[in-house]
Amino acid sequence: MLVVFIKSVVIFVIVFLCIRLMGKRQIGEMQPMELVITLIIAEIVCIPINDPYIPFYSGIVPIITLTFLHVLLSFIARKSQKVRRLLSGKPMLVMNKDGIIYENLKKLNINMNDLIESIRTSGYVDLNEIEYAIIETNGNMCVIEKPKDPTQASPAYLPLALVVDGVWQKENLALAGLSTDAVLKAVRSFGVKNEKEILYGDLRQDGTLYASPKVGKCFTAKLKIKGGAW
Amino acid sequence: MVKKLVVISLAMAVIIGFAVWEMIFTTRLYSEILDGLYEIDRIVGDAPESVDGVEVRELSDKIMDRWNGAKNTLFCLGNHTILRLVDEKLVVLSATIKSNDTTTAPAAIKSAISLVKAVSNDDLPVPTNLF
Repeated sequence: MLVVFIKSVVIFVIVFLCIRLMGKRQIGEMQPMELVITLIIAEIVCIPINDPYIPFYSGIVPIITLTFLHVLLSFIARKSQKVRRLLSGKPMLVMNKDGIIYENLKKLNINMNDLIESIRTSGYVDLNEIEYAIIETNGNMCVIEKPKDPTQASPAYLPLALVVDGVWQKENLALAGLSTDAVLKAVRSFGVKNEKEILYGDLRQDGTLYASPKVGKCFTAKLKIKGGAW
Repeated sequence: MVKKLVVISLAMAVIIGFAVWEMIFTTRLYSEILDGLYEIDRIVGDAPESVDGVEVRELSDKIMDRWNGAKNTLFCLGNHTILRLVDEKLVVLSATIKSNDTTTAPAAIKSAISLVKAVSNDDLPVPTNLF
């Protein structure tokens, strides 16, 4: 029994340190990669604890290896948007002004009951109240409700990311009917020379551009866009 | 993030270093034991009427000494059940040789060779282990 006790304490310390190294997301909303690693680690640690005939070594090696892989992939994903998309996928719009987007539901492999459940969990019971619903990469749903009164000054917008981590989001630029030059022209008056200096920038349907540079305060600018039908 | 990567990379380097050392240690140990067992097998094959000759006894003692010296380290690295099985096989073989049991000895030698070879293979990433 003492063997199991000592093994439990040591494994606890190792797993605790590894989870701390993996970062805060490991204890909150998980991306697919993080879920896989957490599940495997949870399964692996039980083996050397419960089985006195399996040495520590057999448990520690996979834990350290998986933690290493996680930290390495997270590091690469932070540097590369392609890797990030490969590992985590991308958020998907499941409802817009025209209603439920069935094609995207199929891509996400979720049915109507799942969708309704997620919407209700988000605090909405009437689908007619929803302007946009997005399934995030961690599986959470983000709901943007319709304005209560269509004549009110602040209608609901779905911001479209134009620059993420200093990289143009070309699909979204095309969707907004904008060129990179048009965006750069608008941000230059705020001291931003090129897209590399922008950490995040998005655009609303009314042409309002929000940008948060890597250094300095965030700002908004007005852009002329054609339609804004996304 | 970079600090975390450095810390975990260092831990990983230690693990890889340890894994390489383990592979060298076990491969060398099992190879020495196997060499001894093959030699016993050859001698006993040539003269099956006496298995407790001086040469066989010396080889058997050498194998047992080598095994007993490395046993505790091996228990830190591998499955105890498998290692106890190897231990049992080698102890039985040694006892069989010492008692000049000519009926059981050839089978005990073959059985020990087969088990040590299989355990030795388990430590290496070969297709039979991976899939």
